[in-house]
Amino acid sequence: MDERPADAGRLIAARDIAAQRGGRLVLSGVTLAIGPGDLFILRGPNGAGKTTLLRTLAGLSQRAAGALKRSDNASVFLGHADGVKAALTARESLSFWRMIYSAPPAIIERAISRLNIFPFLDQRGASLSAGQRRRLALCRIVISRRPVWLLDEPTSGMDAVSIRAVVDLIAEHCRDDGAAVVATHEPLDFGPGRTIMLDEAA
Amino acid sequence: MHNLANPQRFEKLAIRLTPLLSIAAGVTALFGLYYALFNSPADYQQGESVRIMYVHVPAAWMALMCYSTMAIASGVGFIWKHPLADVTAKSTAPIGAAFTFLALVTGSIWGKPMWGTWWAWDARLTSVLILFFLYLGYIALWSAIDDKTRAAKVAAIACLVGFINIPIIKFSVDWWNSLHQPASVLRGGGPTIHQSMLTPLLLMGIAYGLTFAALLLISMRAELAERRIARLEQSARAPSKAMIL
Amino acid sequence: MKRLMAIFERDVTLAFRTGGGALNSVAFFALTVVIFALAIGPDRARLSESAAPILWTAATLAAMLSFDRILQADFEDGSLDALIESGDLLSLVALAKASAHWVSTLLPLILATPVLGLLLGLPAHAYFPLMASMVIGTPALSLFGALASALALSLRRASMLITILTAPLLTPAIIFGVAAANAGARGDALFGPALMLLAAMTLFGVLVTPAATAAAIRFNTD
Repeated sequence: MDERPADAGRLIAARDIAAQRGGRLVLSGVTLAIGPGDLFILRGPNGAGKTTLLRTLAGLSQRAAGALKRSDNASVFLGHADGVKAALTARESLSFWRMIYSAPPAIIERAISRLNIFPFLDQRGASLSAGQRRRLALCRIVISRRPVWLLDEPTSGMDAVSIRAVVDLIAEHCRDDGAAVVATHEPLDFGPGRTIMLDEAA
Repeated sequence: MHNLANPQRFEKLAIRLTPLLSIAAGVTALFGLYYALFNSPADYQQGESVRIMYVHVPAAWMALMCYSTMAIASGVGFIWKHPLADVTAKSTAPIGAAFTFLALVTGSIWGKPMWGTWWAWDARLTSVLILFFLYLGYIALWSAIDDKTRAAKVAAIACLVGFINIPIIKFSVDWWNSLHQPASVLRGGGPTIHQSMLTPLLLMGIAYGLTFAALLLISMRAELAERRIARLEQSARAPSKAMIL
Repeated sequence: MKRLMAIFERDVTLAFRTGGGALNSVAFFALTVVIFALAIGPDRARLSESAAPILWTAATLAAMLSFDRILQADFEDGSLDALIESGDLLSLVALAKASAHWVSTLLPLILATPVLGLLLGLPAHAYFPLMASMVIGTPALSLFGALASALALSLRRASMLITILTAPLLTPAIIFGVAAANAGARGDALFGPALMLLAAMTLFGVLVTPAATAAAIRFNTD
């Protein structure tokens, strides 16, 4: 009856989607609309399908059922792996990402200062700590300039100061009409925002 | 629902068809072998050893036929996502590899009286050998990837790329062979063959084809059963639902 | 285009930086040639007659062992997701990566060929045809190698499987490659038809493999 396109102005709209992993249906009946300013915390026990949902929203994984609408270049995805090359310095990684996302040079400066990359800018990936690599990986998300950030455990391995910086960065991105879906087990405080609970249907 | 209903209907049909096909294959093979061994002339050049042709040439036909079946099934699985397509492709592979191996072995046995050696780098035989390796790669890929849905799609790509490569491989081997020796010795089939040889050859070809069909149905049922077991063994956890708070 | 160049440059840089990855291939190539020579014996006539096939075989084997590097590393460390998301046609990304593999792994082998040809007693007039046949034919190896690497993407220690997958597909390239080198050494005009056939094989690889590679990447990252 209500055929009005409720998804208008949405960056990503998922309707009743189901997704498989390893041949097993891990998610079903998920409906979610992501528009400018939206911030979702994605929670659920191990194996509930948090990563699968993020990859499906990112268009990286095929859904088993349902409809998914994404505007062009709507999102950027950060998985468990950092995508940081051991043999490249942080600076080289940053400029490579700038090239593949066709971003202006100034964006690198912003990423470096927000995520405090400067102390290890000329170190190779191999010599970085897990938390440093994670911060560098998040620079790619900033550099991409995509509106929807799909982040899988973005703060893993980080110290308290870095976690605070990342939380602020995500909250600010959403205030500036961006959006984010953040899967995490940690008690991150983003201020306003909604929670997606993924769990076995009772 | 369509996913479930289709294999079930297939099972019913397969259970009925398998004995019929097996009997038909056996009867045709008996007739074929009778003609091949007793009711066809010996070759004036090759003597009695020409009779190996009746087991060799149909095996070589089947080697190509099975790979084509795999390619068609892979294409169908790709485009229409028919649930039985990748089961067909996967089940055909070992049967096709067995026919290819049979073609190689009988070719080698035939070669012994012809060339005085168990293996000559004859163009046909060499192409069949490379085809055998294509089968091995396809089977290895299937068995290496645990996730069956993924394995089906990935193996389909390998199969299709192999399939469009077959004419190129065949051409390159023929061309390579012509550089080093004149004409091919194994001349199975072709319009020059005498009628009395054609009857057993065609009968044997039909027998091989029916054998393939029967084996394929059995092997597909086994694969479907294996998949059901795998599904049962999977964690009983229901798919997650999302609650937005 | 700029983005593809960036991917190409990064892959070449990484190949030369990562523990001498590309140089290992040259060492492997040289050792294979030496093993062939030791197995055949010091008879110069036999060695020089087999020089072109030995060098083509050794180059193919060295290439096969390096195929898994084309995509596996990016898959394991998560960069492949970023490349998929970057918005370029994935088949062009695959083409860029195959080109980077050729430049970082096969080009050094071709450059090392004259030295090894010397060891095998390759006649002076046979150098140019051999190297020309390798320049024209070996891109097909990288292209089919990228495809096999994509097919085996989700597997660890896949190089044996990759070898089994690629070897049958590469037989035409090896047949035409060695034939072109031999025809050129005999003085046939334009190295006989083999060089054209070899070029056709590489062209076929350019047309067919990128799309197949992209599809395999999609299915394996799904």
